[in-house]
Amino acid sequence: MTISKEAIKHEAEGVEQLDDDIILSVRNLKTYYPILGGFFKRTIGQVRAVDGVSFDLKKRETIGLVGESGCGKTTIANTLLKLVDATEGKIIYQGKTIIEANKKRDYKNNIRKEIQMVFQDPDASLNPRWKVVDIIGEPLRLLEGLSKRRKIRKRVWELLKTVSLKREHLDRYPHEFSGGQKQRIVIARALACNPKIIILDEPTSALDVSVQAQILNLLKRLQDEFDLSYLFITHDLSVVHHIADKIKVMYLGKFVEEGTIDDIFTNPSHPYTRALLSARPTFDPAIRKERIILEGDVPSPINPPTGCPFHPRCPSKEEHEGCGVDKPRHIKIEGGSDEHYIFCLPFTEGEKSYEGWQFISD
Amino acid sequence: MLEQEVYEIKEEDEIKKLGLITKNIIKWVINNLKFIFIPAYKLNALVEKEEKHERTVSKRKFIRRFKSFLTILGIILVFAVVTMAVFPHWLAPYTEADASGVFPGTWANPSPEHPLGTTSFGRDVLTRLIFGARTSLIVALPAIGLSVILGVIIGIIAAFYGGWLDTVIMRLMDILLAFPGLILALVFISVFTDLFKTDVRIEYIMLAWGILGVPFYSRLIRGSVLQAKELPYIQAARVAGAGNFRIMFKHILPNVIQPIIISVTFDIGGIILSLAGLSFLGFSDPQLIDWGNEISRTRERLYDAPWASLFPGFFILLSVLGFMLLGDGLRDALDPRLRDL
Repeated sequence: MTISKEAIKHEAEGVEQLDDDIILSVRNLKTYYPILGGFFKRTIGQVRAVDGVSFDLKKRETIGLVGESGCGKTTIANTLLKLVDATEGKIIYQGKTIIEANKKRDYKNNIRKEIQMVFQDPDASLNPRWKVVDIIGEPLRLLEGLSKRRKIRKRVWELLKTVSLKREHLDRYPHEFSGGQKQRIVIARALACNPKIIILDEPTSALDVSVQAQILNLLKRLQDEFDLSYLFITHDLSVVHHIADKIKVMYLGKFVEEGTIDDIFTNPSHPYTRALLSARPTFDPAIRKERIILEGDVPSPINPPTGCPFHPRCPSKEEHEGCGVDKPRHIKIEGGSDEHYIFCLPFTEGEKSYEGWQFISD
Repeated sequence: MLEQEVYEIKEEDEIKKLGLITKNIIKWVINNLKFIFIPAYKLNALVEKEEKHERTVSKRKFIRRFKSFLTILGIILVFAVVTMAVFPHWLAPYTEADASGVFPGTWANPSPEHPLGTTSFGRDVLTRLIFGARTSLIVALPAIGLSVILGVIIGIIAAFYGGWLDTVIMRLMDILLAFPGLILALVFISVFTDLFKTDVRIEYIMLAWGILGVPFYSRLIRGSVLQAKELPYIQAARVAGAGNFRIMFKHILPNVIQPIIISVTFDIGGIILSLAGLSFLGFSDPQLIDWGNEISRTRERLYDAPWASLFPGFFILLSVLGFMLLGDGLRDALDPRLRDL
C-alpha cells in the first residue's frame, strides 16, 4: 500500500499525488447492488458488496485479493471493468480517471484494451458455439480493429503459441479441450490486445492441482515477458503465497489487513487474518496448531453490523474498545515492511497494544 | 422423442463402425506409427498437413455435419415440394384453368387420364395438388419467416434489456396470446381488407398468421436468453469490447436458436391446415387451390372417393416431414457439441 500520510491528506483535499510507478489506483470504491421489489420494481434495499476500498497497483506487481465467498472480491473486478457501475469513489488508470461514480466517463475501447480479465470458470467463459480462432480473435477484431481474416488467424496462432497450444487448435470448439487448455485459451484471449493489467478471478479454482501449478507458472512467465500487473482474486492461500507480491484481506466488502506476503504470513495482525491463516491445511501432522474457529456466519451485506463489520464474530472483541460503535481505524503495523496495515480498533488496556502501532486515519 | 431419434442415429453409426473395424485398425496403425518413420525436421510439415486434413475432412465443417441420411431425405422432400410450387405449369398434366374448370366424370376413380382420380366437377386431383403446393408454401413459409424474425428480435431485446421494456413488450405479447388464434386472424384479415379497400388477398392471410406467431416465438426465446445472458462468456464478450447488439445477435443468438428451429418445423404443417379453417369461414379467396382447403371440401366424400382427400393430406404430411427432418439436421449441425468429431 503506497498511500502515505500525505497522500491521504491530499486525497481529502481532492488532490492526487501518485507515483509514476502506480498504474491503477482505486479510491474509496463502493459498489452497491440494488434490491428491487414491489410492483413497480423500486429499490427497496442495497447489497453492499464493496464498501469503501482503496488500493494502488504498481507496474509488474501482483496483488492478491483474499477473502471468503461473497465478500466482494469479484465485484471489485467487475467494477474495474465497468461490468457493474460504481456507487461511490473513483478509479484512476495512469493518472486518468476512468470510472467515477455518478459521472459519465469514457470507458472506451482504448481502456478495455489495457485492462483485461481471466474468468473463474474456463468452461463457462468460452462461447460453446464459437471456434477458438473466433473467440481469441474477438478482442482483436473489436479492440485492435483488425479486420482481415488472415491477419487475425496469424495473430491468434502467435497467441496460442505463447500459451503453449498448437496451430491445429485454431479451428476447434471449446468442448474439445481439457480444463487446463481452456484456461490457456482464456488467458490467450486476455493477452490478445497487449494489456497492461490482467484481473485474474480465481483462475485456478476450477482446475486440479497439477494443472493449477502449470497455469500459475504460465502466468508468472507471461508477467515477466509482457510486463503485466496482476490483480489476483482467490481464496486459496497457498496459491496467493506462490504468485502474489502483496495481499489484501477482505471481509464483508472492506479490507481488514494489507501488506506484503511476508507481513501477512509471518505476522498476521488482524483477528480475521489470523483465523483465516489458521484454517489453512498443513502437511506436517506433528504441528498441531491451535485452530481459531469463528463463531456464527458472515453477516448479511444488506444490513452490515455497525462499527467494525467483523466485530460480531471477532474472537478478541473484548480486548478492543468501541468495536460495535466506532469505524475501524487504519493502523500501521511496524516491524515488517512499511506497507503493513490493519483496519481495527485500539485496545482497552494500553500495555496490550500492537508493537509500535500508529493510527493513520480515523 | 427427438432425443430418441438422435440416439437411434448414433446406434446406426455404431453398427457401421463395427463393419469397418478392420479398416479402422489398419488406419490406426498407419496413423500412429508414421511418427516413428518421419524425421524430426519434417514435423512442421506434418502439422501443416494435419491441419489441411482437418480443414477439409473434419466434421467441424458445417457441411460435413449436415450430411446424414435423414437430413438428405428431408432435403429431397423439401426440394420436391418446392419444385412443385415453382414449376406447376410444367409438372401438372392439365392447365391451371382446367384445375378449376367443370368437366364430366365427377369423383372418378384413378385412371390413366387422371392418375390420382378426380374431385368435384371432374377436376384432376394431381393437377390441383401440384398447383396447391404453391399456395400452401407461399402462405406458410413467409408467415413463419415473419413470426420467427419478429419474434426472435422482440424476444431477445426484451430479455436482454429487461426492466420496464421487458414488462411492456411481454404484456403486449400476452394480450395477443389471450385471443384464440383463428378469431384474431379473422380480425386481422378484415382490418387489412378495410384498410386497403380490396377483397381478401393471400398476402393478408400471410401477414395475419405471421403476426399471430410472434408472441409464441418471442416467449420461447425470451426464457433461453434470460438464462444465457448471465453466463460468464457474455461478460467475457463485453470485456472483449462487444456492444449490446453484437452480444445479442452474435454471442447469445447461436446458443438459443435450437428450440426455435424445432418449433418452426412443427408449425409449418399447422399453418397449411389453418388455411382450410379460414376458407371454411369464407375468409379466403374461393378460387385459391390449396391443400388444407382440398381436405376440408372433400372430406364429406371420404368413403366413396377417398383419393380426393387422402392425397392432399399425404402431401401435407410429406412436406411437414421434409421440413422436420431438415430442421433436425440443421439443429444437429449447428450444435458443435452433439456429434463426436
